[in-house]
Amino acid sequence: MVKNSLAFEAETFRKIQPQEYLRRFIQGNIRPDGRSLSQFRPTTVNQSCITTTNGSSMVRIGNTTVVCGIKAEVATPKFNSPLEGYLVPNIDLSPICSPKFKPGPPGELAQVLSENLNNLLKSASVLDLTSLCIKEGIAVWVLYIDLVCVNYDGNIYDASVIGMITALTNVKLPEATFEESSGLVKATEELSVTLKLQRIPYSVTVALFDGQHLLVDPTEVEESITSEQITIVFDEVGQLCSIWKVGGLPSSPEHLKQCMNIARERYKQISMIVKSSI
Amino acid sequence: MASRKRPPSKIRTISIEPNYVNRDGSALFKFGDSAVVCSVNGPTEVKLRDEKVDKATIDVIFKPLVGLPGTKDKTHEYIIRSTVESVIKSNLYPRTLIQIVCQVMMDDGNILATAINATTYALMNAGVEMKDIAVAVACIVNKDGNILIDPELREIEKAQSYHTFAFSKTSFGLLFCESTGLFTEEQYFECYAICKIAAQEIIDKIRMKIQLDLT
Amino acid sequence: MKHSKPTERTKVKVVLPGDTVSLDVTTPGITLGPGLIQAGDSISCTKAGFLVRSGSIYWVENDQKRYIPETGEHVVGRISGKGGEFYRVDIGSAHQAILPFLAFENATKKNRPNLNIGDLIYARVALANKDMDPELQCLNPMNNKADGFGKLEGGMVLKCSLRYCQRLLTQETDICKLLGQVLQFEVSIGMNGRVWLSSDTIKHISLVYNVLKQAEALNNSECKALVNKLAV
Repeated sequence: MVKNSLAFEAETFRKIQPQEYLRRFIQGNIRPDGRSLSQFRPTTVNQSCITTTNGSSMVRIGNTTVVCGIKAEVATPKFNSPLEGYLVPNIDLSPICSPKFKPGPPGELAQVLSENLNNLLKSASVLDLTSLCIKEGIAVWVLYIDLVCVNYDGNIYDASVIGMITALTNVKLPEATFEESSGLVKATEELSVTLKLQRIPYSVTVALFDGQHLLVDPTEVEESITSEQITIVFDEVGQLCSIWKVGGLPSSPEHLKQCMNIARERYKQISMIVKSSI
Repeated sequence: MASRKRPPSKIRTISIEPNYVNRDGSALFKFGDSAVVCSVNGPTEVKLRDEKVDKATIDVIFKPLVGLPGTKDKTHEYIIRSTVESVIKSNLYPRTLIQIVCQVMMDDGNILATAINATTYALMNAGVEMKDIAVAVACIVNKDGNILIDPELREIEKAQSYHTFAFSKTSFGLLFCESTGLFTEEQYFECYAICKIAAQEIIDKIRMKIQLDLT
Repeated sequence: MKHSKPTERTKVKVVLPGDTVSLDVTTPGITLGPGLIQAGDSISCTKAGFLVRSGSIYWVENDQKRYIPETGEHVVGRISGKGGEFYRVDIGSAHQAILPFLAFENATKKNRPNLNIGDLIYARVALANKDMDPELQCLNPMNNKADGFGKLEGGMVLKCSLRYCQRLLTQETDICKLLGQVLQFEVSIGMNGRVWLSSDTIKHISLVYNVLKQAEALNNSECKALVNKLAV
């Protein structure tokens, strides 16, 4: 090929014309990282990797890495719901995982993700909160679900949901009893109580490019170019737990149907991966 | 359920008050007893830090009815911003700021949908150029599997699943969708269809109000 | 300022952003004003309001308050700063306008205009571009004469919607003419939603201010009634 003065590197092209850069790839039915449009990145799950927590996991989707640790503490329940414990999910996106995040209080994306994780736990009633009760109206377990993103390369929500759910499944609590005489909660040394989840939801995110091409499991580069993503959460019996679509061009019901089919297939994959990680 | 005074697919009475506050554009939007005031300022000067060379910076502030803004309000800000960013022709206003402030006045459910509609009207009132407008409707599926559109707070509390949709006026495609709770695919698309009809009703209402407003 | 009576304006219909308007873009002389854009063969709206037609000119009329500068428009501005070669002027647009020292009648490098921060001026938009700060001039480019542009002495400024300014200019609302029959006053109507007005006494200035402000919401017969009430 003759090199003329107008030719430039692919990286330069991406910076100048990001849309066109991605469009060229899509026309060839391939994505910048070599995947096909419907191919997910290699996903690995590592359970109970942090011994100082009650439950933990580490999830990698391609280069995106999320570590989840759950710590249990005793607290007093709310007056309105004396039998219910608390689940407090929180995600931390620090400058460690990507230069686009600034140090300091949680940014907008981190707050939105935490809120969505909390909504999912609540509205899909993943855990029966009364199972966290130690003594009605006096003591309940509060589970702090802390997620730390170690490396950010797109699709953080899917990784967070897998991380949170697997960490919840391997939570081990001590046997706790409330002693009326001393007014204290006594806990055993041994961690023997496990939680019974009512539902195992996993989320699948699909990016929509040019209003017609569905790119599953988008990377950070793809996320920044496409601007519209559809997230669908299914549970183990194929019931929908959440649908979330924000920004970008309007999408049609057909796209949503396609996404649902993709999500259903992916659910099987994820549950296989999680099962084999035990 | 028995206490609901209107049919399941009927939205509450809408009322719109444009120029509610003295800004470049503002409006009060009401779904029954849910009300949100939105004020739009701009295009105006932008802080150098937030300046974008090729388009306007859009900033949304969402103020809850009581207390300090929390993660929920931040999420609302994010949703409203993403939704209007896709309709505002922001390339016409480079190096400027379009500031949107939403204040909840009354809360009887569907605050997000109310806020999106208030924002849409306030943006039109401000004369910000847009290629489309977003109209939002919410609905629930209750324990018996019935769909109730534009639910009130007490209905939302007992809902099996809760859905908020924002439609584009020209194509009726989905600009934004948030569904929570447990539901089936059929239920979802049923909700989608019912809300779409209601969205048309809201658009007609907005059109009438614009006409009334200018004469 | 003199203004010829414009051609009959007709309100076609109410439009919302995203509506397509069935106009033939190939019609000779067709002009699309604010709020309308052409995309291929179709024309769509970007603003909410009335689609108005005057001859072969179409635009969308609404109650916009924020001014977007357009070359050739006359504006009332306030000097807000002074640079080495120019003044900074607040005309209500997103960015402050620039008024070069040389954009005055008979101005030279030696003979500079003498304006201070806070002074009001009547100027013409010499250059408006979304990517640049707007530029003003205080002279008529046809003859390089001041022609009424320049510093506005005394008086006060009324802020109103852009549409009201247009109505005053085109005399669709003829309140200025009506009020002129009762008392003497001066006005400079800017297209940027600012009207400067002045009269012989402070009492009259505030009277004119209030009448003009009220007339924004009135039609012509109501304006007449208002002025008649004053005249008595």
